Amino acid sequence: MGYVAVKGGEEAIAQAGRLLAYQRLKGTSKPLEVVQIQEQLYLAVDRVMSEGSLYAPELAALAFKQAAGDTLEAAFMLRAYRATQPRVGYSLPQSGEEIRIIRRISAAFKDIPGGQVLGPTSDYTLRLLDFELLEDTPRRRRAFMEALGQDLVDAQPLPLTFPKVVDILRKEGLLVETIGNGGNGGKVFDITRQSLTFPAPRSAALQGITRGETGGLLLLAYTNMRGYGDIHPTVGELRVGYLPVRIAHPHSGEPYSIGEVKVTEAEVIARFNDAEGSPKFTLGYGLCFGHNEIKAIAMAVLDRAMQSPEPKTPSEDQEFVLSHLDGIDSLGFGSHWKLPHYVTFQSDLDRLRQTQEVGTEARPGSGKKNAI
Amino acid sequence: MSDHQSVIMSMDQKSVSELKELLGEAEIQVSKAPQTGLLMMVARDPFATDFCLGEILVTEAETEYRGQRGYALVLGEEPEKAMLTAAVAAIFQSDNDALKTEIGQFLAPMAFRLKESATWERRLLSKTQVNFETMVKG
Repeated sequence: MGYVAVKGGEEAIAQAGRLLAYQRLKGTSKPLEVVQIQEQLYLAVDRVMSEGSLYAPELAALAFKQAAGDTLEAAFMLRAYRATQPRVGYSLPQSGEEIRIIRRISAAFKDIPGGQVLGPTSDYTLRLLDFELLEDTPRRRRAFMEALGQDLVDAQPLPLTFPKVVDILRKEGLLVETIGNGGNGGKVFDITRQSLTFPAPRSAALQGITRGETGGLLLLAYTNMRGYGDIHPTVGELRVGYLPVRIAHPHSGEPYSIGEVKVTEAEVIARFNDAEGSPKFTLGYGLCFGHNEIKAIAMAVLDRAMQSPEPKTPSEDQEFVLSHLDGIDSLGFGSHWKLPHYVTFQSDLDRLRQTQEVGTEARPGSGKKNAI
Repeated sequence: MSDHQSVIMSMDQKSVSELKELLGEAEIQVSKAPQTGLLMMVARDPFATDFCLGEILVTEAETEYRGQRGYALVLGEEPEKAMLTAAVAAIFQSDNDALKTEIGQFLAPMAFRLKESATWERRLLSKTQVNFETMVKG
């Protein structure tokens, strides 16, 4: 049933917008600076950039503030902003091998070339509230930083880059290679420029998942991990760090590095039996903007799940997965139910009343003739 | 990223003003005023599939100095820094060695501090390198 628009209510709408800001302002705390969000709530900022599909830390922090902490709304604002900007071009392709590492672990191999680097993580600590943060003073911060910097003189700086763990499997011929860019004439598919059709080429699928909503990705991947699918993933390698951004210099044509963006990369290994019943390993791949490990892992699980030749579950069905992961799509559709549906609902109501009336007339003993 | 660009991008407002003052006398022409836009980041997966990772907010600018062109594309909405980067790129292709030396001397201490800070963080990270021991029934 189609949606019939309404009009009017401008003053009330404007006041409702002001009230939203009032909710944020009516307390007694100091105004929250955007730079504070950017620096101290960096995981939220990363999530907004990843789901908004726009790497712009300052704007993501601003959107997070404006949305009062709602990451979906903030990602929506970033997407809306990007629609106002011209496209400069495409970067040169960059592989995860070039990530400047701040964290790199493997759950598959204990000893990996270059070693495991835990980096910044809460993985091995208890999720207990830190009540000291209630008194987060500059003095405490200084003391923390001084303690952190002790005994560093003897520490060797971490190498900038590391070899890929999955190459160990490759060298032994244990990894099944995945089909590359087929399906779009070998070109990179850009779903912001081309309509998505199914089956989608791999480049479109990866782009579709990397801009997906974290909760949605995790939910679908979790269904597969729990048994509604065949993937028992092992994290071959998880990397967090900074990926260089390079373009072809417009004057010389030489690669020109313009900076780096924070990313998370996950490679999950899953076993399967080939047509002859021989066990092999396949790889699922995840890469997203920002530090968002669970998103990258879920992305890798879904990438691997969608490679199933005969999809049996929702998470293995490419069309199902790619059609339902975008947070802005689902937020928009879910939110539109709040808008006035008076005419469409009135129509439903009329039809129901009419049906009941006809039913009453038709019921034996009602004293009315059966109208059917 | 050239050393110049990374240093300029890390500058605070005071240093930006000082560098602008340093370049003030040079006859730098603006060929393309700073303009924000979106660069689509292309990533390559382990099977050599290139795909669009997402867009990056960038600022582009172009200058000319003594017949030499200078181009800059920098991360974020940074019109001043994009212009300075493009200006420095043009100057470093020119024959004005005196100005190049002056700029180099201005940027050098900041480049040193930037490198020191990065090394300090890499030392911090190296202290999280781990070699887990497998527990075996004895």
